[in-house]
Amino acid sequence: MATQKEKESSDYLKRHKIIELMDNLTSMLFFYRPENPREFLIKQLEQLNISKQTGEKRPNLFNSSNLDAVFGILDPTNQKYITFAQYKQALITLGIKDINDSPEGVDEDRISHETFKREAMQGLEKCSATFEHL
Amino acid sequence: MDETVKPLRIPPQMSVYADKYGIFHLMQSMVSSLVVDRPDDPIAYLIGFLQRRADIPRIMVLGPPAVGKRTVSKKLSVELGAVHVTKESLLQEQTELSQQAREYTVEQREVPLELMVQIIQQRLSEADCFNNGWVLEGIPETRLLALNLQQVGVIPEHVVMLQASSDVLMERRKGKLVDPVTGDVYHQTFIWQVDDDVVQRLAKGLGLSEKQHLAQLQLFRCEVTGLMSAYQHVLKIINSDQPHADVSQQALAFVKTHRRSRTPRILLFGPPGSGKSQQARLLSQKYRIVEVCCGHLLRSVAAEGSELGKMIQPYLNEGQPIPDNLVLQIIEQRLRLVDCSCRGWVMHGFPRDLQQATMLKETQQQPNRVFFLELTDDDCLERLSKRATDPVTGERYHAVTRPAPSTLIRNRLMTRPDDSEESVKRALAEYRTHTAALQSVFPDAVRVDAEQDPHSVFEALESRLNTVPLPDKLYAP
Repeated sequence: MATQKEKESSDYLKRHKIIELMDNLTSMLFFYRPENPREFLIKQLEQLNISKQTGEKRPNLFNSSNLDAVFGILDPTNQKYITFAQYKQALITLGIKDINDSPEGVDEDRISHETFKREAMQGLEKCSATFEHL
Repeated sequence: MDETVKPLRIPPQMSVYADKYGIFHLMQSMVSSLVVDRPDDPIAYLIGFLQRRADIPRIMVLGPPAVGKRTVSKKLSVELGAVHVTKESLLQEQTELSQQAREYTVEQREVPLELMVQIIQQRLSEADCFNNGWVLEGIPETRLLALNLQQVGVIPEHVVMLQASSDVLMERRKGKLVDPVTGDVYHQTFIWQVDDDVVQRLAKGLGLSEKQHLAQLQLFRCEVTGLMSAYQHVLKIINSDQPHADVSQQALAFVKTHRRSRTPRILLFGPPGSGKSQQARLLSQKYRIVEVCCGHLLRSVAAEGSELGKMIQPYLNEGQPIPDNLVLQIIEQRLRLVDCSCRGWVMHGFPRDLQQATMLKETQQQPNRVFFLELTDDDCLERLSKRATDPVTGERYHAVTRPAPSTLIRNRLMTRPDDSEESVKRALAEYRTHTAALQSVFPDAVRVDAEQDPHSVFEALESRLNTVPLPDKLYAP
């Protein structure tokens, strides 16, 4: 039985996406391993704040070349497309939560490089928008 | 294999980094202060949180009247640069709430609980307390107040409970002198002020009358159990019946240690028979960490027949020492597995000498807690020469301290060839030659007296697992 206070707290955490924010910040800390973690976190949070206001690029671990690399691993023979199962698994591995289940080319089970990158980018953008949507 | 479904490995650098900068604690305190304060703009709030100084002291000093709370709190607040808050100082504030509370005290009535909570909360959220931390003296007096404070988010990081017998307290009350200008407390015999100017103005009897003293003492004795249980996780009890400088010193040492949750990576050293494997087993059972016994590991790798196993098999057969780099490879491989990196490990039987210790330190698998179990040679011999193992269950028995429960078991007990007096002596001599060098590699190691019974040793180990003495520089103003 959750008490009123507990419920309020968990609502708060959910509404402001605190857990996702913490996940992102922690992964970024571990990836870059900065000498001054506090300063680094302040910078990330400031960038997030700016992007919240202007909708500009959000702090994100992956960039376009990383996604190319992921696609390259899945498509070693350079066929320019992957299966839907591969697409889904790859997005899960990237940490994307709500995955578009009907991307372009799902009917033929052929997901093209461009579709994969677009979906992944959108998903990552969503993941890093760790603030309340106004 | 599809790269994306490959089992996840956590790079060992991550946990080393997390330990070094206290990342888990930082994240934890960020989330907990968010939940307590629930700001509308969490991002801006977190930026402010990170800009403040790290580890702000939040201390409560509790105890019966005349036990020395004032002296200790004063010392702590000066040393840590925190704000010293007493009941009197709260009531003297120029705020509306304090005004209300003063009306109650003028009429000699109890200040209502809700009002007290509000006053304390308001005072502690002011800029000086918020930024530099606080030392609450004699507050809360009751468990109810403690719980109410907890609800509004006043949560101490350390609670110092001073204790002394009633006789001592009465003695102290009689000789108590108060400096009316600074509020400092002196005592005719225990704390004597040398400065003549101050001596002149010292006033006696500003404190409580004997009746009030007894009433307060009574109240404290009723509440002490409740208070202790409310703060049991952060509580330190100090016997106050000793010189005040010693008491303050102990309190200071306590508030400078911080509890940190981290993945335990424990190294146990000790002469043969000091109980390394037993303690490792106890630790692994209680904390679900992985026990890594170097000897067992080597034998199991050899039995697996892997590439490395084949390489070490001949050494094991001949009873020759295995080359350091092979042992280290096997150890590293084991510690890198997910169970070790997620749950932590406790290792013994490696490293044995300076060379191995330095090699281990150069890898990313560094221990974060090192213990030396200490035992005299005679005790080691005594323990091992009468030790026997049950080949069926693997349980160990001792002819004197832990005899086998039945004749059936006693008859099948076997003594390890390593436990003969000769080999124990050889192993002991070996251990003693390397101890000094090993200790120099791990200067932060903790020494534990292993002569006590196993559970006392275990308690001693446990108590040192999660406390980390803070480097002094964090507290420098």
